[in-house]
Amino acid sequence: MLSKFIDIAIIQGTIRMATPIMLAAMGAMVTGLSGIINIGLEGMMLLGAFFAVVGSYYFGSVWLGVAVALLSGLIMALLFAIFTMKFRAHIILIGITINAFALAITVYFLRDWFNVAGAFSDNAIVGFNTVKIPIIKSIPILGDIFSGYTPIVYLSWLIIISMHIILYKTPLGRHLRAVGENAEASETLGIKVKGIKYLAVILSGIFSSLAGAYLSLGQLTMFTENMSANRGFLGLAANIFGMGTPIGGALASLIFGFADSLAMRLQGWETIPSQIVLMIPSALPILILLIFSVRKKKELKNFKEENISKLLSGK
Amino acid sequence: MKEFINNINWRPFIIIFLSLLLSLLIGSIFMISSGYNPLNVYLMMFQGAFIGKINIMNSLKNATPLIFTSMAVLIAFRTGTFNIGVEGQLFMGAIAAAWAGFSLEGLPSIIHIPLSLLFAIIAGALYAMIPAILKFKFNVNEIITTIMLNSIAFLFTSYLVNYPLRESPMAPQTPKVFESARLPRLTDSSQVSVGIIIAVIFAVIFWFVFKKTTFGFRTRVVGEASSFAEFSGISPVRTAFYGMLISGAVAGLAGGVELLGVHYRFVELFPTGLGFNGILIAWLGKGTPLGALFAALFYSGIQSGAMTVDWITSIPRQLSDTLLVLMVFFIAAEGMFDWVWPLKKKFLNKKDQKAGVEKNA
Amino acid sequence: MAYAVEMLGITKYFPGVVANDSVDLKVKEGEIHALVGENGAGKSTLMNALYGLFQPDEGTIKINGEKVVMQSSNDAIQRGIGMVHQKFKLIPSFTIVENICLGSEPRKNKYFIDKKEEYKSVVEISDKYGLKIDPSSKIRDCAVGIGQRVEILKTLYRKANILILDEPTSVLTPQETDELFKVIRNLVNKGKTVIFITHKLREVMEISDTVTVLRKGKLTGFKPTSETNENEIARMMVGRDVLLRVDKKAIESEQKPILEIEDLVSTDNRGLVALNQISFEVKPGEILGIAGVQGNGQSELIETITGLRKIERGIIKIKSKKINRFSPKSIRETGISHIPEDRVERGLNLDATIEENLIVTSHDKKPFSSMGIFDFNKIEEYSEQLINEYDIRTSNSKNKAESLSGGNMQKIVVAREIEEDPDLLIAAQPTRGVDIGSIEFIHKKIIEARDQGKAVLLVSTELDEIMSLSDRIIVMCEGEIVKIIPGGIADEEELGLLMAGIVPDTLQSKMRREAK
Repeated sequence: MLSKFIDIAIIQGTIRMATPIMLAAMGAMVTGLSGIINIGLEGMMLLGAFFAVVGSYYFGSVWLGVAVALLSGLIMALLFAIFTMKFRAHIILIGITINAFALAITVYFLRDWFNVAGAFSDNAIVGFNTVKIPIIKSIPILGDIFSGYTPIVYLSWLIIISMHIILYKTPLGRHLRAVGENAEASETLGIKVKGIKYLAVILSGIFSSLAGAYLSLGQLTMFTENMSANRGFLGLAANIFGMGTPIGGALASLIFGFADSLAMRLQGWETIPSQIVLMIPSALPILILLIFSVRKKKELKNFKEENISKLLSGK
Repeated sequence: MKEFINNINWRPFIIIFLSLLLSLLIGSIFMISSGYNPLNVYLMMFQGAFIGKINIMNSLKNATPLIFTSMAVLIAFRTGTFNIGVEGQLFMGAIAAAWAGFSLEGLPSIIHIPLSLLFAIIAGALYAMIPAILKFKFNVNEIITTIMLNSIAFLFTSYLVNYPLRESPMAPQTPKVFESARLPRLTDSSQVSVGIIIAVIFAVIFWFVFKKTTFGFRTRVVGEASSFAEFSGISPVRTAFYGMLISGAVAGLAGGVELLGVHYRFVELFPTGLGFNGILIAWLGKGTPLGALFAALFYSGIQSGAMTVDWITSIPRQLSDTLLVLMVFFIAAEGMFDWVWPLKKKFLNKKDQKAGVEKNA
Repeated sequence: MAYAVEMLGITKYFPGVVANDSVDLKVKEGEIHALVGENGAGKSTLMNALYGLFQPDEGTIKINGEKVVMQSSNDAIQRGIGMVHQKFKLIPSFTIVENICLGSEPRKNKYFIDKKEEYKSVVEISDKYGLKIDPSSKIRDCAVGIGQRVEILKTLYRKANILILDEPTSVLTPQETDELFKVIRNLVNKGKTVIFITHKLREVMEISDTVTVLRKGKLTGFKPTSETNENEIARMMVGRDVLLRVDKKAIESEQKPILEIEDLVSTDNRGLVALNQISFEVKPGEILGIAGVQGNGQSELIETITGLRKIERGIIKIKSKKINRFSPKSIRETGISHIPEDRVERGLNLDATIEENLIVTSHDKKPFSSMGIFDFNKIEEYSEQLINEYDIRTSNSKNKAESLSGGNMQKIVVAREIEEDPDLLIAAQPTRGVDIGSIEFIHKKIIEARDQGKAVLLVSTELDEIMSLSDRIIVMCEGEIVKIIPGGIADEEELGLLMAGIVPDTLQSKMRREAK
């Protein structure tokens, strides 16, 4: 019975669906650690998806498409940073506005530039080919799990590992974490707080637009309206669940990816209406965050009680 | 009179005006690149928004739900929470009103309408209770939960409309609500209903509550300084919790009014974006009820205008959304206009100087 | 005689005020120099200029005889100046080593931190200057005194020769202060120069070689410590003879206590026990002072009494009624008012008007509102009246609270709380960061309240304040009551020892506990 649900295909699906969430989670992590809440990851991802297709279409190259996507991410990130840090805009509102902006402008451009609504698909768009890693691809089971994805998937793994190394082993990483915890202290020690915050925001823009490029060039080769489908927010949730660490965020994203994958498989099942099944990927983060909070509360309570009884018995 | 004028704080108005200018400017860039004359387009938009009875009625019709949703966003925001779930709560309210509208037979309008709207209000409030409890009892971030709940609401109503509440195998929609449940239309030629009047009344009520009542006062203290609120005997958690519920209730009401006033049945493609635009409009109105009222009227005007432009030219009607977002961007970034104030002072000083010289002459 | 620091003719303007007006400061090499003055006298401004945080508008700075212009604190650090601020600038989740080396981490292969090297350097400096710490422990797990050592180590790690200490003893027990003084003397023996900002005159006399006094931005005194005394310094600080003790009449109260606390246990925000079976009572017409160094449970005690913190075990009774599960609002309604220790976070809404801040605790009662609707005229009337009575310096009752000075902000809090006419007034650090004129006023009001028959619970880290106002004194240390003393009888040294938990009979029980 279980094998109906868990098989190689689902594991592959999990990894694929988790990739954009993971990248968003890394974006959430970097900004979160430096003390910034970037709600606009969703919008940056959507714009990345759109501009990736635009770049690929016009330049006839998938990597140039990615480059255009990253450029859009960079620009949106700079706007976010400048508006919130220099122009004193409300940080949550700017995030929401970026999301609204992405939605409006992608639909506008879709109609204005390509004369389509809903989705844009064209043979001129160049998508990614899957990568077959020599040697590994021949290992039974593991080969299927680790080989055969499009490049951005592997790139995301690289990013996660690099983030881990940078955060915990380099001065930059330490400074980033210091800025988020006590910006004043960091400033007095000569750390360029503003520069670090800008860097964090820019990284989050690059990661989310990369995630968008993955959606429109890696998973499919087209752009559909609202393609990001809340994955930016799932990234935020994954980062919370992953306690602001790269590995934690990655694992949490895998769980969300699994839920997505599972929902897609169950859609074929006739006994449960597809709408109900599709609720799983949205309901899961809520459930997980709830369980997470309840655990935290309980831990604190137990810790408290322990200390009190130690005290009372000591007397 | 002069004193009154001097006492008004002109800053926010100047910022709004400059933001509008900037947005129109950026919009023109898009238009020019598509080969249109921006002045013509904007003129067309203005006509489509405000000239002619049908256009005005249309604008009012668009404004109705937006006034409600911006109020919903405002009340939550005032207490320090972000209710992004207005979309979902609106949908729940709409379908609840639809159900009450097509299931309860034989009631006179005077009972059926308020009753159906009550269903909508309760549905919205209950749906908002979920993220409220999650936030206030379990400390779970409400932005993430409300966004997820929006998706769940869309899927759930879609399910209802495709299966249990489906009118016929023909189309995924509920039956039409009985005549007794429908909000009376204001004119025969357009879809605007008495809902707009209800909406304006609500906006005025909100204004009054915020400015003059102790409850409104408490919401502000909780939103501005929650430690202080707790200390002085105002419970931040209780106040914000109720704020969220009221927010959901008003969002549900928005859905109910939209359904009973315009569509008369719940369909798979029930309008989305009313909630998100409510957030933007609340901000456009500088976070005040009356401001949001005017912002909603203004926005729905340019929304109608943009539709007109869409029919005549090939400029997509998302133009209005784009302009709105751009305006909010600029209004939110107050610091952008810092260079204006010293200029204004200089200008006014010069004026006073001149006036002084003329007096003495 | 070589001067380590010479600041000559320093003048600095801020909007509306001359923070430093042609001030001279001359610090000899290897001396301990006290910089004294009340809040707002310009000491911090002067030192911030020395530390490169901004440039003076006029005047010159010479370090070791050489004229310097410092554009940032990095410049100051390059010149061997180190500053330990009053509010520590530490990262709680980082270790001591990570905190010390933050921003100047030793590198391995250019891009990576050499963790072994940084650990080694920290241990070296710590040994050299006798500042004992556990390098791998996280700051959030350390005591406050350790935090200060870390701050000093930070300056030494960056090769500071001139150390500026800003109010270093405000968070230390008298014993920890003694240890700090030992450290300072050791540093000076090793060739460092120390500038010591303080307003505690006793310490000035005890440790400094030279004292510079500032008042309202001007230099009012510069003398070798041996040639002056506390009273003279106080006069130079304030410009008139200062009443160091407040007059009050003695009381004897036989009435029933207003506040009764029995075996109270509560935890802090981390889940650690903060209050360990506290019991005491407060009677009407008396001022009970709680003495103790910051962080020994006083804050948690006040929070449990006022309903801002959960009571884990034990009972609190107000007027014989158990209030364990009462909300802050219900507790206020039993007749308690509270001047909180953090006026900015808890006591005021800075974004709101003075009026709103004055009526917030009674906003839902007559005459300010009825049936949920405000009467703005009555509110304005009431506010104007209080602004007069409490001498709050502002142009308009509708100004925002944030526009006021610290002392005036505190007066608003005091006015609001006292005007509630409570049976029990809780005053936590009521004169922290307040100018001397306002301090006198607030003390007067507290005594007035007591004379009117109210009970007053006073919590303060300022021993002077406790000793001059209290009828009885409770000393708290590590969440326990160490002793209860009738006011006139305690002396500062005994109080200091008690605050550190050292009393013949409890010393043994402490040792027993630690041995477990």
